[in-house]
Amino acid sequence: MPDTRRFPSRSLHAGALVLAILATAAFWPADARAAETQEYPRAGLVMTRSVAAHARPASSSRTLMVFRQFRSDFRPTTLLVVGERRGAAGTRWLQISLPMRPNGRTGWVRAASVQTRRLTSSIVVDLSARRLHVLEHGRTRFSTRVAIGRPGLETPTGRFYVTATFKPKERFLGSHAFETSAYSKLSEWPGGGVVGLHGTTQPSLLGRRVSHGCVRMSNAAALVLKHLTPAGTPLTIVR
Amino acid sequence: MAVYLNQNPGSFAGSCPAATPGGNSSTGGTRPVNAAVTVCNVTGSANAPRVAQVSLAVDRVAAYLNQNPGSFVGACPGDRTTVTQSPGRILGIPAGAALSICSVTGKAGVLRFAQVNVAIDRVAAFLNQNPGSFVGLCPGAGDPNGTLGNEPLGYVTICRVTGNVANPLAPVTVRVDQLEAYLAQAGTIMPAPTAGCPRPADAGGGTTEPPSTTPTSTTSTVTVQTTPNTVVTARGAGVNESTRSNRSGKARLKITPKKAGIVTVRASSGRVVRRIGVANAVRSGGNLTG
Repeated sequence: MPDTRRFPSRSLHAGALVLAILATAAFWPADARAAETQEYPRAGLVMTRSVAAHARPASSSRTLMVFRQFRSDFRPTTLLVVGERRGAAGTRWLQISLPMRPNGRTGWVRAASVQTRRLTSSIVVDLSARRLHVLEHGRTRFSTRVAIGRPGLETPTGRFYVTATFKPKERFLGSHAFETSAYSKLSEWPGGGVVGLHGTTQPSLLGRRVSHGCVRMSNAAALVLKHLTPAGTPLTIVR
Repeated sequence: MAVYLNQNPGSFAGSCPAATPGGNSSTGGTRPVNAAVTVCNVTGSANAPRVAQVSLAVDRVAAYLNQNPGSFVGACPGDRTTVTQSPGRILGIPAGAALSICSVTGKAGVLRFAQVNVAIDRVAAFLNQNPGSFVGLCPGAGDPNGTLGNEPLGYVTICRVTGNVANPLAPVTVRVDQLEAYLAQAGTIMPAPTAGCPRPADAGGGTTEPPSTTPTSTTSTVTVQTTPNTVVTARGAGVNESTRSNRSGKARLKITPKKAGIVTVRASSGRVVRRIGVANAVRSGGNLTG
């Protein structure tokens, strides 16, 4: 029997909520925090063939990453926009979370190349409680027990987002998987060691510190998340 | 006449204040040879203009205005004297006529130009209130016979920022006194190009609609918005379909991708309307650490 329980809003683990707020303040830049109070974060889609993420809101600054409109698996590239600012020439720039090492890095893209949309849901993973919460409009919509990274390969904490969702070929990843912008301590891994949220074939290990950094949940919970958290959903991992 | 006046800043309808003896009598006026025209010489920056009122022999006015851009016929701002000869008339131009004026705002380093039509009886006031503005075409204003100059009196057509990525710029005709509010929005184009406001596809290979995804071997209907009655094609990922948009510009295409890839939907002009990623629902999660 999978451990998937629906919680009323008041039953959200109070510590997790406090930690999530503290993590927001600690990991996001001041600009992003100021903008967040208005309308950010928002999900974004790339509208041009490619868009460069710069270190600062200026074309002359260093390019940190180039996003193509479609990923290598032909899914649209999804961004998490955390703030905005005007450049020197009045150009509107969006601050985005970068799916790269080191975790928590942000960059700037031209607003004209990105279409943003409002977000309704977010994921909070409480490592201490080993629970995953899906929040909608700040209220808990769904909560489940999870397995997290083992000692030495701890699941990273911070603000990330879901970059893609898919049905995995590998049986051990369970019924559904979510690729995130977080990177685990395990760098020597194909693809760089991306932290995922996924189902499992070993539900007996849920609630333990056993993974390589990924967050495992029951297959039933993974299918629920498939409908609640599309690509672009913010993910906060707190200790 | 308007084109002539635009092309000849400083010229005006009516009799000249003076005519050179022996000159062409058809252009001759009835005033004495030594008649003078009041010209406001404008130098300095827009924020700190330096004005000096000068009186010029009428045969020197055109050359003077050409050599001193920004200067204009009339009294300088703040000067109590006026060039208005009688209510509704300036230098003999009948009431009801309009002049094309280049409204100059912004800083000296980043000047903003707007071509505006101003009723003839408001020209003096407009020039006084907008130091640096001048009668004539703005630099790089484009074709005077295009959309420019067709606006109602005191209005200018600009491309305003809509905030919609699919259609980021839209033409709008606004009153001159409302311009500043629009110009506060970065990306506003003023005046609107005669060819229309640029679309996203005009630069950077962008699409007018956001990218989407569809699984392989599944038939889906794609609806795109484009120009009315044009051929719309979808190519890529084993898809080769075409249809014609209806009178409202909507086109519906049924696509059945045979393999993973990208389907590109184009309008007849070659403009990319939308790109659709064809992705396998099942894929390897080998990049996840597990």
